[in-house]
Amino acid sequence: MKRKVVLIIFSIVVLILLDCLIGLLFSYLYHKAQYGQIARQNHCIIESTDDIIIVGSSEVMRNYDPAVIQDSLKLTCYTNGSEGQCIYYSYAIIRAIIERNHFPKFLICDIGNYDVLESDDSQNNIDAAISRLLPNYYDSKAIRSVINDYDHTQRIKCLSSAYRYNSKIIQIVKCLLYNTSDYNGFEPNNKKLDLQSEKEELLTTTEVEFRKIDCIKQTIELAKEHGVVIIFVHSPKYYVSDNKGVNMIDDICREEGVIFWDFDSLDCFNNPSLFADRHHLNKDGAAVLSRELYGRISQLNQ
Amino acid sequence: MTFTSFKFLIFFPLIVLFFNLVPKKYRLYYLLAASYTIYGLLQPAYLLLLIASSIITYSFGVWIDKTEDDEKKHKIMIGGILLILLPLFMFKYYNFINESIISLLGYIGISVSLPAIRWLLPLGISYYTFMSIGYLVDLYNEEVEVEKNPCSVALFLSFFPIVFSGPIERAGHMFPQISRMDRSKPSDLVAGAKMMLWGYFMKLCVADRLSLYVNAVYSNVEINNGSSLGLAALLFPIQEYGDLAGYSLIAIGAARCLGFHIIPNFRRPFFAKSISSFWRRWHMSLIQWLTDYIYTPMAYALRSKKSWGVVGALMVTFLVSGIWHGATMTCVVWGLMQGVLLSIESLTLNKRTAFETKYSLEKKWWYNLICIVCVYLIFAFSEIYGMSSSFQNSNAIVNKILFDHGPLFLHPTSLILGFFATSILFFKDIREEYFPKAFSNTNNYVKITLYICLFLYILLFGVLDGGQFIYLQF
Repeated sequence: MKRKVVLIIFSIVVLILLDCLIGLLFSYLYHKAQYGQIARQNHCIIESTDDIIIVGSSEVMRNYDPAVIQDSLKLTCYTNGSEGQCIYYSYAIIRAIIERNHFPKFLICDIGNYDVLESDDSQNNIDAAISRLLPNYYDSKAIRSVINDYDHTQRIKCLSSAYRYNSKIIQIVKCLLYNTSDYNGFEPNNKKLDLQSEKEELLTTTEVEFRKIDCIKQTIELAKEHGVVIIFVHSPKYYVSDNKGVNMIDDICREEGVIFWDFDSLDCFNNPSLFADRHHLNKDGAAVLSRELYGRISQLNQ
Repeated sequence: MTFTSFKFLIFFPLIVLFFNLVPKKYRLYYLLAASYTIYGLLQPAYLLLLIASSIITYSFGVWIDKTEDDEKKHKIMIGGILLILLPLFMFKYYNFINESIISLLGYIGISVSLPAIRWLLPLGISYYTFMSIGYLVDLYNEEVEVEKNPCSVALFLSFFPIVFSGPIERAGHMFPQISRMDRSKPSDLVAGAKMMLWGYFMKLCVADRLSLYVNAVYSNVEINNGSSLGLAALLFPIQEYGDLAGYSLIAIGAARCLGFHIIPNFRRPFFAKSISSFWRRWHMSLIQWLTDYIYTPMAYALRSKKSWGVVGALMVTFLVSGIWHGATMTCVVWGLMQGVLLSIESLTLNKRTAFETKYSLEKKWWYNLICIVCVYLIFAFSEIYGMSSSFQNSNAIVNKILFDHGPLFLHPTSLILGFFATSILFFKDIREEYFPKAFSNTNNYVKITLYICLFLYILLFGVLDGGQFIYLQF
């Protein structure tokens, strides 16, 4: 009996010890990452003091050039785009920024249909957001609160340090070693869409996820509560969509008295040479969009 | 509440704890209640179907036992089997047969429309139906005693570790354990926990990790080239092995924690040197069931046809296996493909053996390696048809693999972590297959540390928000 008790105690001690060691090692590497998505996320959650912060999915990373905006407005600008993310992620980042008492002059939230509609794959849903935010669980009370609100079991799961870095090793190594040469979160794409490309029709097929609508409203409420100007923007796409989700966000913004800019409806973006693919602008397109954004912000700023 | 859900991990230790606290005479009812609760949480409506199947199985069992006349007994058994098969037919095969009849009639210019059923497939129906049939046939053959307690029959068919995904247990093996049901021994708890841990590794670190690549490629056949499709086709058998063997191992381990010894389902299938050997190692409980209840009686009935009788029995057996796997024409073809391969092996067995003996090939490592690789490649090829939704899709994949090569689609996280986990899996399998005595450290502290490392590996590299279990669809 005594031997069994010793073995059980030994197991528990080794488990806790190894888990803590793994946690320490991964936490060190994760927070040391200088490039790519991890660096952008850490910057926003932990230290950003920028005047303009743009958040959203991969469109943010490709479509907005902070240099253009900064040079023109004389305000610092940072973009945090994270692939396959939706409003849950944007809300968590915005909350983390605001709750550490940094109130940017403008918070820009890039949205798409996926910010309202249900996801039919592993992206653009709450699980994707939680998975991306878990390494920062203990960095920010806001992140912790968002994760726990959406999934109560995370309180227990996050007792393990190893769990928080689940499946992150390749990304951590990449963000440590591979210099993406981004500028304030902007990773330009130099590809060009085939000039002969026609705008295809991509219809939305999924239903509305009401939790996402609540999240949009919470985001607006949070910004209003702290006197931060929040602007919802819809990036240009090179396809025709019924914009079921985007129209709903437009309606919410109208109801709440929040600014909504639909750049997708601008004629200048009917040009395929400005796109890297159907969803993202290339470097030239990003310059055009950033100038358009700067123009509108400078009007607001006056 | 699947085995990989967080809820299961929380509730399972409590189920085991209360199982050991409940007095012996109530353990049967406790486990039955736990099994029905877990099934009911997933598919409440179909719990009634499971209960109905149990009542039919029990009633026909008692009826067969009470009947003296052999001919009448046979008729009762057939009646019972047909009744048990009815829900499986309605839920799984009705639409398939409907559509096949409509297309056949369409070929000869007759247009008919038959109503389709759009119901969800009850979980585990293929498993508990086969277990019920096995029980009635064994009773008829007087290989098992009739079970007088209806709750024992109900638990046999609904026992939560195995009801969703097998292994397909036998009455003769389960009823003595159900009637015994002692407290779990510490050795059973440890053995069960070890099996579950390894099962989780196979499922979450191997199968679900590789599935991220395989699904990404297979679900976009039109935009992927032959090189990527070829890699996906090669990885799919490993994914399937991790998925089914892993899940079976979790089931066997969970049952072991409750003191039940469940039959094994896999025995290192990728070291088989022939297709027949492969099928003695892959999904063993299903193949053993098919062998006992379809192949052996058929081969016996066709014994006058000699080797062609064996071929006939093999073809029918694997046709049933194909249909069991799915109600699609691709599954039928997959089953027939296995039947043809096994028939060729059976017909050429004597010549092959003579050839191998003449050149002492069986002792040569390179010959064994070639055989192992060939069996793997043949199985991987057949799976392109087995798991595909249509012939068009399968043919497109094969066509691209043969003629359309290009740069590989790379998904570093799934490929690197998948490769690493597969290496660990194969290292263990190689050790057990060829060097069973190697690395067998008896020091408990070393063993515990290794199991803790495995647990942390799963936490760090497993796909924890992962997909469904492939075999739940059966």
